[in-house]
Amino acid sequence: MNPFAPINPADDTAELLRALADGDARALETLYRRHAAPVYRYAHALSGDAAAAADVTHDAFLALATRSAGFDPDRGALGAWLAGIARHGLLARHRRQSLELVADEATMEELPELAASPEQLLVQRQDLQDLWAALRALPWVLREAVVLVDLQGRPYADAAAIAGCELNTLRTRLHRGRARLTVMLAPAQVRRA
Amino acid sequence: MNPNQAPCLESLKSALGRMADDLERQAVPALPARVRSAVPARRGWHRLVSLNWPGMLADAGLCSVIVLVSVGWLLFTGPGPDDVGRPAHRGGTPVEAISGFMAVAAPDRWQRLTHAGEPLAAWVVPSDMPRERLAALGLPFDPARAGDSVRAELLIHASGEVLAVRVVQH
Repeated sequence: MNPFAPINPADDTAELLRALADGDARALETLYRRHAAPVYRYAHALSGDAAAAADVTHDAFLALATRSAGFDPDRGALGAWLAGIARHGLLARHRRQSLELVADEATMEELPELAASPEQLLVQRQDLQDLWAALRALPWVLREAVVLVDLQGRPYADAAAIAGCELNTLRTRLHRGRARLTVMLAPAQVRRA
Repeated sequence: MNPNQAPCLESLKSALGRMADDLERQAVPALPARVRSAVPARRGWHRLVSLNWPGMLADAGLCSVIVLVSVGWLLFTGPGPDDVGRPAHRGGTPVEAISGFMAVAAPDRWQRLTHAGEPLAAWVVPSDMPRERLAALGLPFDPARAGDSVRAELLIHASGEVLAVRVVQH
């Protein structure tokens, strides 16, 4: 890698990947600094398990180090490719642990009518732990859509690529995830109403 | 949608914002050695071929030119060993010192700059200064000519700091 070459994160990914393929470990470090945080935080938000999130993030970069040719820039951004690998790792872990993975989207109830005052509906008193617990109670695909779009601010197209679904499917999952989360965060008396 | 859902959705938005902030605060683990060491090592000839030879040669050539020009400039303009202590020349005309070097830098600064056993890396640079500055150096001067300038030489450290000054005249 030419040390005097201009550093432009938008343009030097291809050069870094070439250097990585040539055995330059510094290129891997640069790519890790640039992409590890969103991948790790996506995995952490989905799993609620820091150790598992770290493992799948490292596995994604291991795949990059050993199989960087598998990344096709025409099919999406490198960050999305890495997050997709981390996603597969998380899914495999969940399958091994025999946990509920993907709920049947057709059986999800619609958002009920909430006839209550705004004060009753406020969930601002909920602390962060309750918020995270509510998020993780969502079915996987709904939770993933909320994490990718609402928590990480990713574009819909990127989120759909990571989740491995169509854009409209992602929008539907996001809508349902938000609706469910709204119900879960509302006080009990409001839900009864 | 029920109108009462609007504040509910606002609350959801607020909650998601707090969660996003919380997520952003999560510390990211460092790159482990097992991943770093997985980068495949290529053979030496492959690395040599993959180097950007034209760019590197151009950089090396540019550096060589800069070094040669710098050395040449120092050889023709820098003071030689015999010049130490002598007043500088101006346009080939020798000048006469009318004072010795007077320290400008503080004593502790001198101690730090003049390491024991090491030569002082400094240059004598000709200059002009207002005649009224003579008073600050403890030298007599004519107030009527305070606005005039006087020829002087500055002893300048390699760092650019003025260490001492002496007054010269033709």
